[in-house]
Amino acid sequence: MTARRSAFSLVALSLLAACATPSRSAGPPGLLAVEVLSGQPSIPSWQPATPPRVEVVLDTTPSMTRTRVDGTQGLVAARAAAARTLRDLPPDTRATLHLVGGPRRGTTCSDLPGALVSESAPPAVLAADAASAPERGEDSLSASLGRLADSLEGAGETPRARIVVFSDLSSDCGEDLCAAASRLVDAGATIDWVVVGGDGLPGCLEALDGGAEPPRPIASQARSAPPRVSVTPRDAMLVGGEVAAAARVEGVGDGVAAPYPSGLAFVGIDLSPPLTVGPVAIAPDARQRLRVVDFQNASPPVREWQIDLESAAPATQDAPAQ
Amino acid sequence: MRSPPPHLLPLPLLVPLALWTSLLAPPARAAVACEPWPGEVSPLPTVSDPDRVNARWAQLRSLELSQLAAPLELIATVDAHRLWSHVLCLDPENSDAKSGVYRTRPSRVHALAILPGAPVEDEPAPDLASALASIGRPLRLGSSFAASRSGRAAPPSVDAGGPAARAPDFGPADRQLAQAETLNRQARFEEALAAAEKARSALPVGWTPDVQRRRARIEAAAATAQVALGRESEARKSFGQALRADPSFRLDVGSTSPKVMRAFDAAKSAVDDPSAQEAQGGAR
Repeated sequence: MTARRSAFSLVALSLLAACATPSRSAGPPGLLAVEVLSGQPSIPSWQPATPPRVEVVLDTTPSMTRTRVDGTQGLVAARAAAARTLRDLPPDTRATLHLVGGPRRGTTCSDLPGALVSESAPPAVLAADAASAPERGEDSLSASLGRLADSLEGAGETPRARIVVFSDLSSDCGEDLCAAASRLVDAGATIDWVVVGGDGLPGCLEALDGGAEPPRPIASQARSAPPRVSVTPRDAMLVGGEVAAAARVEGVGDGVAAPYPSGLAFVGIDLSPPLTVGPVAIAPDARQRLRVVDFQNASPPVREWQIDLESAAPATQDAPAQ
Repeated sequence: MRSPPPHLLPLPLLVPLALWTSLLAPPARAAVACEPWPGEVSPLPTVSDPDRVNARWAQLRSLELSQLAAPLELIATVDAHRLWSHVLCLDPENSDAKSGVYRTRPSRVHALAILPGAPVEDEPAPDLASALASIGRPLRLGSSFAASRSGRAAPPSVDAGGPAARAPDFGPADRQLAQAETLNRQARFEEALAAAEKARSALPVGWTPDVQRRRARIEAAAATAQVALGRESEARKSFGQALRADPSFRLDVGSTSPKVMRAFDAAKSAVDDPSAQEAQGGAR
């Protein structure tokens, strides 16, 4: 009795499967492109091992004693402004004071370009040092910033560096200040230029924007391959189990149109969590596009889909279904 | 994180604000830099894309990137700048992104100005962000720097010398205050804030009603600009200063945007009942 019932069940299933599968061969297939438009695969993290550090660069070259700002000698104003900036910093800020200038008065650009005198200490200590910084010899601000860039890169600290430059930007050494600044900004540092008098401002400085490429934590996130797609005729789904599996046609959700059996069908997309759309009417001799907007990291998560009929009579197909 | 609805701003502010924000938008370079990042829809759509799905994706993506950008502004400023710039590519009218791009610009130029008068003992900045935000403010060196003005050797410290005794001269402060208020009305908020800061520095020392009334107006002008620049917490502090200087100070409801009014009300609540704010802060 049980064996007979099982046999009957098998026959019935076969018949149902036969009824279900004809939708694959009932008419010409339809083309369906499935595409998933998603957000960031996961929330990228910026985890600074250390807080920002402030690099105060004070120009003490001879031009600073010649330049004037509101009637005040440039070096005097720059010292005062640098000291004030350092005093403003919270006491636990990591700060360094860099004096730009040749080792002694009378030195020239070529003696030792970029010879920074640097000191790291609590901001209040550096403020006192900035306020009494002596005039030094000629030197290149660009070369000094290059040295600072070397030092920050060596320590892996450039993206955390907040650089504040107090200078008249009057280069007497003929080097490319914009290139030096661009190197720092492109590596992730920010620069505040406190301009003390001076003859003119290189226009490039305000235009530096650090480039348009994605930040590294975003760019480095691995994007998963396009999700697998399965199209199962509705009739087969109603029968379930093996029949549905037998009738299923697999594809890839890469936005490329592929042929699927026409008729009402459920479209499964292997997302996390999985998505089943349908029943969808896959029209014979037509080209349709199913697009899913999927932002699982949004709060609340967002998943929306839309199916469009792109053409009633497709001239070509982009790729065969698997 | 989204832009405030336009109906929250009074109509006279809308046109200049639009003008101002369009001026703030990064010009040609950003326009050519609107390329899709890896994994994004290509070509990069905007929230006003005629394709509904693309527009919806752009909307969700700009929200996602805005939420990433905001907390990065201090710890990874250049990355925050790139994110805000990309949000502007997706949503060119996003005012949060416009002010974010401006706030996080990686290279900022300040022309140091020296104001007459004695040095003012600045309050220490409450945090690193505030300290860095005030780098370019004008400087007072005081009369002890007369020697430096003539080119002779200068004393090293800016703290030397106390406030000079002088009759109150409100002229410079009043001029800067009037300028700050005008610039606010013209939606030139960065300049308005700079003018308000100059007015602060130029205001004579003292506790007379004349000084305090002006101080309140100066702080309110600064706060209005700070609200517009998205610096809400600074704005509340400025409004707090205004109310402490002149407890009777009030904003004109008819000509003040609801967003500014909300910041003022929050500051007023904090001034009226500091314990309530502390409790609220503790609850957070």
